[in-house]
Amino acid sequence: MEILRAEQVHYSYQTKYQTIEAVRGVSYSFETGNMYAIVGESGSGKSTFLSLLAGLDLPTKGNVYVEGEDMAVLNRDSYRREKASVVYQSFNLFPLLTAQENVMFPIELKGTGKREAAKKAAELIERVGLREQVLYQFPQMMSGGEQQRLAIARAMAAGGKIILADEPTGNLDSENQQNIVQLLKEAAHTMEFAVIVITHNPEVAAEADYVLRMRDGKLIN
Amino acid sequence: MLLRNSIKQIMRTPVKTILFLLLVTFAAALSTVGINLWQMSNSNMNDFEKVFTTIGTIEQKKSVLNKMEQWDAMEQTSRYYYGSKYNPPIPLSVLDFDGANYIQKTEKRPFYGAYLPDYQLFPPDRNGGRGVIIVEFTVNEDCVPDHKIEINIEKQIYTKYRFNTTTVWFCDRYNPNPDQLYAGKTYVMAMLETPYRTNDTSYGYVYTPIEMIGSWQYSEEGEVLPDEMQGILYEEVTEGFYETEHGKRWLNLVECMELPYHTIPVTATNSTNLLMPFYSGTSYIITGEDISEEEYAHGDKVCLVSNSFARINNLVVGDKIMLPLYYANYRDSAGGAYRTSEVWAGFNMLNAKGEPYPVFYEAEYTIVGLVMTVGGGSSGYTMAKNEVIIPTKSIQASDKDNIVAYGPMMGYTTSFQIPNGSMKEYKEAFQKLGLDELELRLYDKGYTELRAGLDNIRSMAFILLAAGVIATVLILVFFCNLFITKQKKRTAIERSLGMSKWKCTQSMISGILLIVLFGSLIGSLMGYLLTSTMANVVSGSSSYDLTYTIGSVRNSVGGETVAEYAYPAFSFSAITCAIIILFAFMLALAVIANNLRYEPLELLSEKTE
Repeated sequence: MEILRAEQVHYSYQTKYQTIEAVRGVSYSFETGNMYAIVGESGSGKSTFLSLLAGLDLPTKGNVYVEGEDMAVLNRDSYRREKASVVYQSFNLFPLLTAQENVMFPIELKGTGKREAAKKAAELIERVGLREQVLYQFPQMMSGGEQQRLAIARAMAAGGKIILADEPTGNLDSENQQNIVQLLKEAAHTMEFAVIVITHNPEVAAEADYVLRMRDGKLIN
Repeated sequence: MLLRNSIKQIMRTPVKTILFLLLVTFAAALSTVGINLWQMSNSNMNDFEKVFTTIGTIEQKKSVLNKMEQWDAMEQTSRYYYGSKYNPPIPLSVLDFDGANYIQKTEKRPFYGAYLPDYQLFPPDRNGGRGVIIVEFTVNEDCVPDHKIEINIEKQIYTKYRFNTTTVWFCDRYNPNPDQLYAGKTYVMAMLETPYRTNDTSYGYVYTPIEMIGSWQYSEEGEVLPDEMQGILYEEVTEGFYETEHGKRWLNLVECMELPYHTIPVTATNSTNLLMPFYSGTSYIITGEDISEEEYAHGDKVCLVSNSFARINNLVVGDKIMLPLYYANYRDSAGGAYRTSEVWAGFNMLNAKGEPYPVFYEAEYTIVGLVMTVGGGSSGYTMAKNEVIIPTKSIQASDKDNIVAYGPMMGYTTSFQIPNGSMKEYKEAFQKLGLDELELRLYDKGYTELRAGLDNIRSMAFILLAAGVIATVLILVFFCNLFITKQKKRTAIERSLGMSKWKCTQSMISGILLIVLFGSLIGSLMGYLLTSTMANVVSGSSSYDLTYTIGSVRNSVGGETVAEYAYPAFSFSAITCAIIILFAFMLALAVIANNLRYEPLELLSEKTE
């Protein structure tokens, strides 16, 4: 089922000396239950494209549709809160909140009570394969793989159907890399998420259902 | 949830948080101490400004010191003493000069005599012995009274204490050339019993004539009006003498002799502040209140009377008293004239026409306050026993025909009031006049020193306040940087999780504001308590007892008023606390607004290769 669609999306910005066109007329449709990999050289525009899909910015031209609704007319805060979550290479967990509190955060943000949020967070943490003992640990006490699992659990916690991952395995060893990719695949295939991963890593890309290549801001396949 | 997470995250950095709390507390305490001290010193300054007064007195210096000789026939020797002389009185107008910023312009006060036969008075001190006696006398043989002679008292025309002897010893002892007295003739004279030394250890008494029949009335300009009777000590009484001008004059004198026993001195002034007995604190209002500025300005018929006079005449505040004024003395103060034994030698009771001075102004005055005088002394700077004080402007008639004495400006008759703290400026402007013959004395009861002390406190308060403000700003800026600017990533994560900008702001600000709230509350309270303790210590060790000052007696009960140091106002501490919280809020908002300018993905997508 189509959940996210980019139509002739352009994005440009002005530097001191020139106008940079980071994304040039990208069109693509993303469906739930699939994992997508976006690959390309640095500066190819893939991260900018991801931020447009995440609703952190709007295209300068073209449109992004979420479940058929134009992102430009949507409340993008609630879009991120309810439909899409972003997973980063450097995890970006709250360092002063415990693992459970990190996962509880987006749940509570939607208005769920503390107790229910705690229960749901514990379930998700278990689901991403973390031991119960990490619940009360702070992120810096956990390994990189554990932190990224936790970040994926937090992304799932929001309750949306879109996970946008920006180099999620960039900081991980090959074993953890494999685990995270499997986790994302599982999220796509068994939990019906549309998982969009930006990666340089061909092994990660190889695990995706679809691979999108970008060059000079354009989708080339 | 926002608040909980915010506090949770702050509390998980306890060192930073406690340090922040302590520093905010310290800065708030410092600011509160500064602002309270500032407020207290200002308040003290205002209070003292109302209570303290600065006055000046002017005195014309004696210009010549003459060696004077007085012959004493009883001791057959001349006594030498140094008598001073004044140049003609310098007019008051010279004191209206540039730089003289008067609150009360210089006044040269007269005191008046009010004839009150229906009141009981404390009699003025008199010379020892039996006082002045006016007699007709004869001698047994022709003689010149340049030695002790026996005279026959033919008639006691006036005496306060009638005596039975018919002969007394008499000598015109201070007159180097007495007139001859003839046996068979009758003379009239005013005489006084005086002591003389018979040997090194004992004294005898002899009557000597005194000059009372002559008039020493003064013009408005201070000139003595001419009178042919000046210098006459005794006159021959012939048939029909008392129908003659001279004879009538002796009868007038007799009539005047009882006046002093029913006369009270009335001082006219433009402000009680200008009267040295009040200023120095030897006199103060024990009941009622001072004559107000408005009453002085309007010339209302109000007066202050001595407490002893009021007591023996059953007078209370609010009673009215009729004051018939019949003489004006422009030379002495009432205290000076009535406290010495020279009351009657000081001025004669007959005017230039040889008549008693008529009443020139009479009005009914309401008593507004009773004056208590403590201590003694006989200088011009004390109050007379029965003295009454009235506003100058209340006298609506000229006293020019009733001036019994006139002299130059004296410290006890001439004074002015200037603003507190302006002594130096006044003195400099006065010195520029070059009036070396006038001596200026300024009094401020230590206001200048007190002001300097308060200025120091105010400077210290300013420094503390400035230090407090700077410390507060620096601490808040530093910790906003630590808790907000350096938490850009936290804001970005929150944003990427779908938190609105306003909620991000709340999340970031609530914890910080809570610490600032606690810190500034505790700090302000500490500052308040500290300044209260300081005020207690200072007030306890150096309160200014102003029981006897003009400003304080208006509201005194039982004559006990103490000007206390001001205490810190709690409202200032509360305002300081509120300002710190508000400032922290504004600063945090500004810093967070800056954080929110960053694109979340840009911050969060930092790659580590």
